[in-house]
Amino acid sequence: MTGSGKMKKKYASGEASWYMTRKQALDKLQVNLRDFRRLCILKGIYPREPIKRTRAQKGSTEKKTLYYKKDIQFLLHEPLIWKMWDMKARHKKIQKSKGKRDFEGAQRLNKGRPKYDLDHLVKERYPTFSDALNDLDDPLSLCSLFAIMPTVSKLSEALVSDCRRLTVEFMHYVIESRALRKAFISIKGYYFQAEVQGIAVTWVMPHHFVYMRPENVDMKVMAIFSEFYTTLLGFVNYRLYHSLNLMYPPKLALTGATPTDTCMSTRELDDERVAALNTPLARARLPDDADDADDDAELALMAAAAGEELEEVRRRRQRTRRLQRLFAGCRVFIGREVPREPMVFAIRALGGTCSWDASCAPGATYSETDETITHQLIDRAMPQGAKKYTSRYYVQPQWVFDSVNCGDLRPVQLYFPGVELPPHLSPFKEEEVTWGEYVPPDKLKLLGQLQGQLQGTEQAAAEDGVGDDPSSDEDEDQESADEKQEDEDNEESDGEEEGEDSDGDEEMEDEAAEDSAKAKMKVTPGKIEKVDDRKDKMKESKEDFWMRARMIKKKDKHRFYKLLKRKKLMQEEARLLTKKRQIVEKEMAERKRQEKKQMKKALAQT
Amino acid sequence: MGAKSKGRIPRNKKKSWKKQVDISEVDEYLDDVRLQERFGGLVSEKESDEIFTIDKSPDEVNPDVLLRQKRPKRPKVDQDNLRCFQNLKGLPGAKVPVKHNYIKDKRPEYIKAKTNRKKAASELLAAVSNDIALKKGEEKKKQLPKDPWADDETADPAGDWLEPALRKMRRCRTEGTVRRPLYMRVKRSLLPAVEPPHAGQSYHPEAADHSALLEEAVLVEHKKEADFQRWERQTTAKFPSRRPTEADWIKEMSGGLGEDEEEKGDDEKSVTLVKKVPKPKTRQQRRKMREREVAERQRLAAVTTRRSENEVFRVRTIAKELRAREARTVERQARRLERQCARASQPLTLGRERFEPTSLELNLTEELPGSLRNIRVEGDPLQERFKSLQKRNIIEPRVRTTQKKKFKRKRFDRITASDREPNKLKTERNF
Repeated sequence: MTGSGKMKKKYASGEASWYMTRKQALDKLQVNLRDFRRLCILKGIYPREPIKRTRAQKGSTEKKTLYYKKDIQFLLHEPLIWKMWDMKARHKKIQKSKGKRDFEGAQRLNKGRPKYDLDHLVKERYPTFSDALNDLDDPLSLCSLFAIMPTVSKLSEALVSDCRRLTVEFMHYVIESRALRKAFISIKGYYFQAEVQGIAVTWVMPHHFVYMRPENVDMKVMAIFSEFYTTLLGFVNYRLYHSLNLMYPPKLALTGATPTDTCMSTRELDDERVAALNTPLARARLPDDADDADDDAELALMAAAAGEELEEVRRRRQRTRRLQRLFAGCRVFIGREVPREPMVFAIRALGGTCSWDASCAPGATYSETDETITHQLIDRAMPQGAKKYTSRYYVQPQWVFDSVNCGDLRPVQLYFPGVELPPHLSPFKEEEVTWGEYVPPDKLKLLGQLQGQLQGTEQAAAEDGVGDDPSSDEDEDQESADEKQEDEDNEESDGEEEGEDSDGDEEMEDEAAEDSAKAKMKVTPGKIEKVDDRKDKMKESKEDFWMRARMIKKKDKHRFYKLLKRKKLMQEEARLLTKKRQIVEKEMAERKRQEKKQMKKALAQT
Repeated sequence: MGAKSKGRIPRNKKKSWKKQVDISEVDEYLDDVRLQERFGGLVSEKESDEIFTIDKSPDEVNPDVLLRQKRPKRPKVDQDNLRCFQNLKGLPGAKVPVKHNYIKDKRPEYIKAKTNRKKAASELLAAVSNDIALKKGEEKKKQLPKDPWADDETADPAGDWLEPALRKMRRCRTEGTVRRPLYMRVKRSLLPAVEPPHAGQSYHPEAADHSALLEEAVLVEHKKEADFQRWERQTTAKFPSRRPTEADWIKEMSGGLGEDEEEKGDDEKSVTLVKKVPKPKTRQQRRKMREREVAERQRLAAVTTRRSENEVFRVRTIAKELRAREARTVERQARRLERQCARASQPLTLGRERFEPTSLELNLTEELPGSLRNIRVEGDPLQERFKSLQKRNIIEPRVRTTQKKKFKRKRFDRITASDREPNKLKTERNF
C-alpha cells in the first residue's frame, strides 16, 4: 500500500460524494428550513433516493433526506437566495425594533421588504414552450383548486384571485381555439382534456361546493407551488393568446350588452363578465384561414411522426373537426340548479351559445323567454306554474358531457327530465382488448358512444369533408396510375380488362366518340377513377399476418396457436349468442303483434 | 470569289454541294435531337405518361367574402393638431411671467418652529408613502408579462444537430447565470400529473365499471385486514393476556436453582483437578513426522498437476459452465432492469416517513345519485394534489411536527434516612 501513493479515504469518492443531507444543505446555503423548501420548490430541485443508502450517508443507516450535491451548488448561484439573505437580515432588524417597542420603525421596515419575482425561473425550468405545455396539468389543477379556496389569513387574497383569473383566461383560450376534447363528471371533480397545440392537457376542476380544508396537508408547501404555477400560467396564457391574435389581458368583444349592476364597479363587472366565459374575446385581427385547409403534407408528417396510417390520422382529424362544431347552432339555457361554469365551458368550447337567468350571475346574454333557445338544461322537477316552451328540448345536464365524449349530439329523449339516465361513461378509460366475444347490443351502443366510430357517423364524416382530395390515398399506387394513362389515351372510361372484353364494338364507338369530341374540343381536367382494392388489401394483410406468424419462435408457437383457438371459440360463441338473440327478439315481436291483434279483436267485439 | 446568289450554284459537283448547300435546318434538327438525348431521351419516343402529369389540384374556388379578414380601422387623423403645424401654436412649456406676491409670515417664532417640525415629519411620511406608491406603480406596470419563449422560433431548442460552436455561443448568451444541469430535465416519475379517474368513479357509472371499482376497494380492505391479523399474531398473541403475579415472578426467578445444587455434588466427584503433561517426542519421532509431511506435500502437488493437466479434457464442460454463468448474468440483468422500471412508477423512499396513499374514493351503490344535483362528492382535491406530488417524488412525505416547549425541571434530592440506608449497605459490601 505504501508503494501506491496516498492511502484512499473511505467515503471520499463515488456515491458517498454525490449526496448531501438536508442539514448539510441548510448549513451550506445559510438559509432556514422554510426558505430552503421554498427555494427547492421554485427551482425544481427534489430530494433523491440513493442507490445504496449506507454508502451515500457515509455509514449511517438512518433514513435521511438526501439531495444531490450538484443541486445544492446550483442553488448557490440563484439570485433568489440573495433576496432570502436580505430578508433574513431585515427580519432580524424588525425583531430588534419590535423588542425596542419601536412599532413605527418595524412597520416601515416591514413595508420595504425586498420583493422577488420568478420570471427568470420559467425560462430556466422550461427552455421551450412545448416543455411548459407538457407540464401544464399540475398548474391548471392546482390553480383551479386554489381559485375556489376561501381567503383565510394563511392564504393571501392576491394568490387566490390570481389563480382564479389565470384559470379563467386559460379556459377562454380553450373556448376560442375550440380545443376541448374530453369531459367527464367524476365524484372527485370535473375532468377536462384539451388539445393545446397538439399536446393533450388534462386537468381537474373541483365541484363548486363549500370547501373544507383537510388537516394533514401542508398548506404552506401548496401555496409555494401555486405561487410558481401562477407565474408559469401567466406566461403560457400570454403566449397562447398571442397565437390566436387575442388581446391579453382578455377583453370582451362586446361591451355593455347587459345592464350594469349597481352593486359592482364597472371594472369588477368586467372581470365578472370575463369570468362568466360567455362572451367571445376581442381579437387584434381575425385569424388566418390558412390552417383551416386540410394540408395533406402536414397530415402525412403527422402520420409519420405517430407511426400511423395516413387514413387513420385523416379520420381522426375529421372527427375533431366535427367535434369542434358540435354545439354549433345550439342555443342553450342553463337552469339555476345546474353547475354553471363547467357547462358553459363545455358548450362554448364546442361552438354553442348559452345563457342563464340574469339574476343568477352577470354575463347572461338572453333570457328564458327567448323563443330561439334550442335546449334548456334542467336538473329538477319543473316548478309549478312555470311556462313550458314547445320550441326547445328540456334535458338533463349529463346530455352535454355525453355529447362531448360521443362526438355527436346524443338523442335528447334519453335525457328528458325525470327519465332514468344512461350511464355516464369515462372517456379516459382505456379500450379493452377484445377477443371477438359476445357483447350485448345495448352495451355496443354505449361503446359506440365513446369511440364515435360507428358506420353511420363515418359516412357522415366523409360527406362532411368536402375539401379533401379523394385521390391522395392512391398516390403511391403506380399500377393504377398507369392504367389511367391508358384509359385517357383510348378516350374510354372503362378499365383495361373490360376494354379487351368488348373488342368488337370498340371501333364503332370510337368513331362516334371522335365526332362528338371534335364538336366540343376542350381540355378539361381529367377525373381519376376510383379503384376498389379493398379485397386485395385484405388478402395481402392476411398473407402478411401468416408470414409474421411464421417468424414466431418455436417455443412460443404453442401459445400463439392456443390464443388463435381461443379467439375462434369466442367468435363462434358470439355468433351463436347473436343468433339466439335474433330468434328471441323475433319471438318477442311476434308475441307482441299477436297480443295487439287480440286486443283489437276484443275491442271490435265490445 | 464574290458572293454568289443561291440560284447559280453548280450542281454537278460534289464539292459545291458540300460547300454551298444550306444545311442549317438539318443541323438545327440534329442539335435538337442531341439536346433531347442529353436531357433524358427523345420526346417523340417517350410514353405520354412520362411527359404529362395528371392535374390533381382542385378547381379554383372564389374566396368566401364573409370569411375575409377584417382589419381594424386606422385612427382618424386629428386635423386640428397636425404635427407639421405645431410650431405655429407657440411654445407649449413656456410659463406666464407673473410675479408672485409673497405674504410675510407674521406668526411668532415658537409657533413657526412647531409647524416646521410637523411639516418635516409629514414630508418624511409622504416620501415613504410616495416610495411605496412608486413601487406599486412599478408592480402594476410589470403585470403584463414578457414572453420568455419569444426566440423559440429563431433558436432551435433541440440543438443536437447544431454545430458545437453555435451551441457554445448560445451558452455564452446566458452569461452570468449558471446553466441548469441537463439531468434535471429528467422527470422524477413516470406517473402522470393528473391520473385519469377510474371509470367507476363517474357520478353515474355503468354497473360493470362500478362493481370493478368496488372490487378494487374490497381488495384493499382485505389487505388491510390481513395486515392487522399478522400484527396481532406476531405481537399480542405471543404475549400472555394476564399480568404475571408475584408467585409467577418467584417461580421464574428461581427456575433451575434447586437442580443446580444437586448437579454440583456430582460434578465435584467426577472432575479431576490434575492436568496431564504430554511426554516429549523423541528425535526419531520428529524425523519421521517431517518425512511424512514432505511425502504428503509431494503427493498433493502431484494431484494438482495431474488435475490441471486433465483440465484439457474438460474444455467442453468448462465452456458449458461459462455459458451457464453468462446466461445467468443476462437473466439477472434483465430482472434488475425490470425492477428498476417498476420502481420508476413507484414512490421512492425520500425520507424518514413512508408514502401512504389515500383511500379509494367511491360511492356505495345506495349512495349513487340519480342526478347531477344530488352528487355526493368524495375525496379531497387538495389532498389528492398533495399526495400526487409526494407520489411523483417531488416532495418527501412528512408528518407534521408540533414543537412543545420543554421547561427544564428543577430537581431536588431530598436526603432521608431511607435514602441513606443503601449507601450504608454499599459501604458494608465494600468491606
